[in-house]
Amino acid sequence: MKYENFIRLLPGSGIITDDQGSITYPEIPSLLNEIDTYLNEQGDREEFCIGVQAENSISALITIVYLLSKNINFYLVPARSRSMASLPPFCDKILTVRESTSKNAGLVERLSLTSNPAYVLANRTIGVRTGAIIFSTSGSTGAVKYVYYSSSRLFRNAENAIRRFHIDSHSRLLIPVPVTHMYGMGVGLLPALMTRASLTLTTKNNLIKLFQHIADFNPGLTLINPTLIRMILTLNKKIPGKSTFITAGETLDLQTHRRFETLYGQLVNLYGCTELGAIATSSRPRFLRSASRDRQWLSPLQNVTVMIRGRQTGELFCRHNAGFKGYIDQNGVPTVGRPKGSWHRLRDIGVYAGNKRFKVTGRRDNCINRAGFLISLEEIEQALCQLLPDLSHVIVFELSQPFDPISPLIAVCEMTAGVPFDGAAMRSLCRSRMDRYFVPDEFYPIAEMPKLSSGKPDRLTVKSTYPPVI
Amino acid sequence: MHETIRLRIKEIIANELDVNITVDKIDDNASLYDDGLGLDSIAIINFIVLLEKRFDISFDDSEISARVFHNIGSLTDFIASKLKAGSEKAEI
Repeated sequence: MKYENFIRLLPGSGIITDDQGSITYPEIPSLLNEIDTYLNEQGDREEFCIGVQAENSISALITIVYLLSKNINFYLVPARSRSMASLPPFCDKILTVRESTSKNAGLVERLSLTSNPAYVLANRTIGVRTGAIIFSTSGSTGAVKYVYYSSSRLFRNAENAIRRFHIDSHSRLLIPVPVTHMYGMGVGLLPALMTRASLTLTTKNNLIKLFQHIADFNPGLTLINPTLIRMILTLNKKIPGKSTFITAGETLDLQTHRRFETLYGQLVNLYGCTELGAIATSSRPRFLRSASRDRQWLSPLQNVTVMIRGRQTGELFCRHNAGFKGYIDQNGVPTVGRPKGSWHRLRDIGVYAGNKRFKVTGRRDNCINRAGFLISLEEIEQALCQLLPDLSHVIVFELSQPFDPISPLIAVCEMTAGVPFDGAAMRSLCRSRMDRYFVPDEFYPIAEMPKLSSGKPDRLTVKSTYPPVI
Repeated sequence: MHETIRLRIKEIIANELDVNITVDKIDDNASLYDDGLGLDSIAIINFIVLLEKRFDISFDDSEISARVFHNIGSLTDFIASKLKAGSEKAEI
């Protein structure tokens, strides 16, 4: 999107708030000029890619708007990897947007532009100032991949979210999830900016700030994740207002989903990935006519097509009008491109329900063959969580044993605080209530389930450190 | 009563939360999170649950706020007023 078009969109009556203050849309152009002046003062401006380190804040928002409007390539450093050692060599500059304890600190006082000592000048095909936006993703394996978008596709991705969630200038969005991830950026930040909606940004899964913002801001739409959901349920307090909540990331078990909805209101499941952004959602927002409010059946967004390779059950593929352009390696060299109109393999297994609806049952990599049946380990985990409400987290895996044709199924369980672990009782209950192919052969307790930077359970670590140390 | 409450709050932070600090190092005016004591999201949850248990009170949703949880001082004042209101109600 051209700078002039983006700026022309900006005037509006919405208000933008963070943990320290607020601005209005008409104030944005002058703040953009401040950044322009600051960066010009730093000298050499021919940068290949700027790594942006920022928490959710007005300063971060202005910085992102500036970079988008100038077509500067930038990489959004994930919140959990803020050390120089983890910055990829394709970033020649790092722009840090610091939080300030002083509410009066100006925008420029919070900015710091430095050179990346790890920068490597490599033979790239992504040119300077082409508007490339780069995210990192670890998926469910923990291995970092760099995903790059063109700004036009990123905006088109946001338009899909605007349409699905009916975001307009009267909307009020609360974003406690990081805007440096595709979820916070593509479903929250950009849709709000493009429609001049009112927007509040808050940080670090801080429930006190979240409750405060909900009370003060009264959002109509709140982006959260399963971690925040579990924290809110732990506190077991009412939340004021009537926000619709959107959750993305790790699939929430049905029991937790229902409990949250009973206490707090509509919770929409958003299915997507860094590579494609938002792909599908569960029940549409209540102000639309809804065919079904089933929480786990998903409907693709407009301009998005999902295919299941198989008659009823199989691996999921997606064709998206606004997905990523490709992957790049840590030196900025494209590794895998994505031709327009091509199918992207999602590496998830799904079930087709008819009328374009589908359900995700687990990761393809996390499927096992038991007596001829292809079974998703995540499906087993969800079944265990429904049957055993005192389970806080569980990971199930197949333990390969040499010279043994039958690999036992192991369940590693983190119990709710204060609840004693009884593997024998759990297994007995499962055998009486679950299909025998789903029942783990052994249950082990773990004090705290290791997590990836995305918040998802770290299966590789659990499996590699089996049996777990209590 | 304020001093007792203040000390108990600090003891909860120092002894029952997973933070590396002693009672005497806790500044009454420092923020409980951010650049102050730096309680993370899990610690905040545990802190609220422990305060309710240890003081036998319940925070309303409107009381889970930055105003109440600004620092040890504000939290002490709030808990003191909540306990006082509770005992006045019991007398009636």
